[in-house]
Amino acid sequence: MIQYIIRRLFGAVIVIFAVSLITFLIFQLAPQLSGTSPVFYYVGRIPPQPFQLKLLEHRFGFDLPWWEQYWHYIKGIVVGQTLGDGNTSVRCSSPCLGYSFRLNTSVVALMKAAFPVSLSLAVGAAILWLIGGVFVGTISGLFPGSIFDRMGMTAALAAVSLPIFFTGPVLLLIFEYKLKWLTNVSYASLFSDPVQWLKSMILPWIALAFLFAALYARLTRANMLETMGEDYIRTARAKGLSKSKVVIKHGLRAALTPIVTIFGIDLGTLIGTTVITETVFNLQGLGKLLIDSIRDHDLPIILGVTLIASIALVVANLIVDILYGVVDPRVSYS
Amino acid sequence: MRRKPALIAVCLATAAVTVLAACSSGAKKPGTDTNAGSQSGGVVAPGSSNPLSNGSGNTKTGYNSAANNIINPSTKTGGTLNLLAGSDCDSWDPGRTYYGWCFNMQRLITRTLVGYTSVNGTQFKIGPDLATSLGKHNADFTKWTYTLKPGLKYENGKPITPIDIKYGIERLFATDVINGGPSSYFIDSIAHPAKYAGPYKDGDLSTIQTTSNQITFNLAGPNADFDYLMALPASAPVPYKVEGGPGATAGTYTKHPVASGPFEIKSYTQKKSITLVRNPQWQQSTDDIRHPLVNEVDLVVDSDVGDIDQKLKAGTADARADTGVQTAFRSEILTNDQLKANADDPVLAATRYMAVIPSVIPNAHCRKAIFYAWDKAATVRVFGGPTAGVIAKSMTPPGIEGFEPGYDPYPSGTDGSGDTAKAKAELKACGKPNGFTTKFAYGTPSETGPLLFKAEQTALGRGGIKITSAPGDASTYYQSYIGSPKNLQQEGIGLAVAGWGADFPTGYGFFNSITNGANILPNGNSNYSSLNDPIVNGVLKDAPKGQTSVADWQKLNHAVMDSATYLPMLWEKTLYYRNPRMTNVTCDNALAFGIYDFVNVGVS
Repeated sequence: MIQYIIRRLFGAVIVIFAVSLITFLIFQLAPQLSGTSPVFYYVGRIPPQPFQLKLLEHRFGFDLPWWEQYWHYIKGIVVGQTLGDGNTSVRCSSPCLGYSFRLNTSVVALMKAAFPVSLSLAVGAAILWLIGGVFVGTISGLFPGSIFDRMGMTAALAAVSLPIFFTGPVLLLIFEYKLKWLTNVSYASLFSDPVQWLKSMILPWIALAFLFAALYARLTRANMLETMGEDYIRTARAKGLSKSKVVIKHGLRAALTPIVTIFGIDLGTLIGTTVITETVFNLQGLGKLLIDSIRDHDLPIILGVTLIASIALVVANLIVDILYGVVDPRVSYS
Repeated sequence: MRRKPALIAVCLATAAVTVLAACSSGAKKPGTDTNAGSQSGGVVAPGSSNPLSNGSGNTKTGYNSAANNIINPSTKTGGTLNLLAGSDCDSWDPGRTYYGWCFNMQRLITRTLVGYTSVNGTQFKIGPDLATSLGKHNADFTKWTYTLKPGLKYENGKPITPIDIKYGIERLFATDVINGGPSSYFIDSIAHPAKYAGPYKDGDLSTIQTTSNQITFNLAGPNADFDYLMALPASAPVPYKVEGGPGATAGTYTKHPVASGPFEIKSYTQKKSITLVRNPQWQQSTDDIRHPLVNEVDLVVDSDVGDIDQKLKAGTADARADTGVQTAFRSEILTNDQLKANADDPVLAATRYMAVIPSVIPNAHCRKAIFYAWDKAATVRVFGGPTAGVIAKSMTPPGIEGFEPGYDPYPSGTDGSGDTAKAKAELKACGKPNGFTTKFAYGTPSETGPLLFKAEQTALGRGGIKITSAPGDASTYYQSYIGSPKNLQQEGIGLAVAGWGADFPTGYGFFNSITNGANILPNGNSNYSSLNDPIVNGVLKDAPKGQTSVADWQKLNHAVMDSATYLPMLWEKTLYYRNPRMTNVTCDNALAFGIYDFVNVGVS
């Protein structure tokens, strides 16, 4: 088990390294291929005076070979780096994922503010959709063709078909504008104001979970149907085990293995990609940070958020792989 | 190049250092509009304390009444003005912002040597702000002197001096740090050593001289419009060397710009909110432009623009600070008289046009065939319908010197859908009676570009002109795609979508960048058609020397239209919604595309 984790950790590091190199090449060096100095993306769309352009390229290190630029970037993550804004030096401490000269803030500082928002959104919604989806899917799977199954699956089909930019405003319409239960709510940290945090998160959770729960309900139902028809379930029943034991210990546990896989990937993917939900509900999370920086062509932020989103996905996958053994004892780590 | 959020994709661009005016929107009302032209020109005398001195004080209310009047007049003080915006300002550093709406917000915080005493309608007025009068210049407009009023103070009680004004402008030369704003105007205009890189590296700029109460600018050449530069927020004073204090200097001044205006920043959370409260050191007796009434202005960033409209409708917010209403709310407003009475639809100061490239379509008759066949009514529909624009008959938008409402050299038929018969006649004169083929360029991604292409493909096809689409990446569209004459020729692009407005409403401000034959650049060229016309060049050469009249600007406009190189499509409009509780409301067309002039607004 330990060996397996070490091996997977090592693999994860390689993947993250490859992702960092590729994203660096795309965002940092690609502009040069089209003959555009990356300086334009660092200082804004209004170009500096021509004689200052070269100085800026030197200051940002764009006159170095690409591997040296990459080396400085990686070194900055590990030990930090000192960057000049042309007037004063800016210390970007480790882990330095770059510095936005547009916003005069380090990328890490921006992400520190945005990450808890995205994490709150993803984890809260994930809990909701996992509980809701698995519950509906299990019952439907156990009683296929029943009214509950039919209604549940119809609702799931509807939910899958409805995008968040539809369900989000509908929720706002009902709870904010009509019922006025959640008016003028803005995000607050869980630790500073838990009630406000909950109020700001509940609608985004529901909107996001609604979509995912539908997928999970359908998936769980299909798995349950398949698992409950297996020979070992019949054996368990023949042994005289109680119905709940058969369903939970033997049926659901096996049916959940593929759910766990998908869940890990979904949760990891959500970090940094919930752009629509964050935009609809005015949450300044990583997705919003990313889309804003793409719109502003603020390359250091795009690079940093992409890297963090990739790491989140890799870490989520790693956790999923480890959890396999817990959920399904048949999985061997050897 | 003052920017409007919705126009960024269109307007990015240009920005070569030589570019003077830039693309944005900010035009004035066409003379055909019944609300146009009720303002009279002139300068408000110093010492005036009439709260309505920046407008006509007309008490008319209802739809579009704030476009050219100050409505709901009131002297009631106190209260909080609640504003919303879809995104934060590009910067709160007055030297680094280039959004029109942020210029409008800077009016609350910073003052400049001169400013706009009237911002609504079509006849903007500039008058003294920190200075005792408009600039005094020498005979050839190369030396400008301003005298500061006595008793001017920053929020911290320290005096505002000519050295601070000078320092604020010197900062604009440090384009490696103070970037994003309209620096190029100042760098091009003020005499300076070739490699002067601002006060941080090169210290003092000797061509700007100061005394205890005066500041004199020595220019690189004549500039009759210099007062307009001094009315841009970028020329606001910045405390010499100290700036905003530790942690708020140079690139980080945006964190604490020091207030010289009636409001100071109480708190600011980037991308979330800013709270402005009254600056106790500001004195009404020194300011004839601003007559603030509210105690506090709260601006909250809400990325859900639909939510913003809902709050406006519910009255829980007073106005949107950065742009107009969205499509859904726009439809609701236009079909509900009660809501409509609280809305305004001012014509902005920009012309959306097509550059018709002579190097690709050399025969003027062939180009004119395009002019006649163009479906301008469809163009207006593509950009959002009648509340989003009116058909442009010539390049000069309403409000710019030389605007002629009746001048329409290429009439598009009674319904604006084009004149196919005339187009065919021009094709015959061109020697191509069966039409020709050319490429149509637009920036991508763009919502309107592909729609416009399709609409005009049909329209031009009626005369036999076939167009194929040639979309270019929006980020380099203006700089190297249509901004490179060589590229246009190589790619065979005969038509290119563009848009233009002036940062300051003068003929020179509007036409210099887009039509001056002396400004043609190999890259970053904003005279996309590479027009090099002696009449146009002559007027633009005389303008900085103060030697042009309205007749000259009309002559220029006629010459541009006769050349058939720029095809005007529409003058833009934007629909805004105001909370009826707002008092002293008027649209700021001079700086902010018709967004309400918040510095003088009160709440009932």
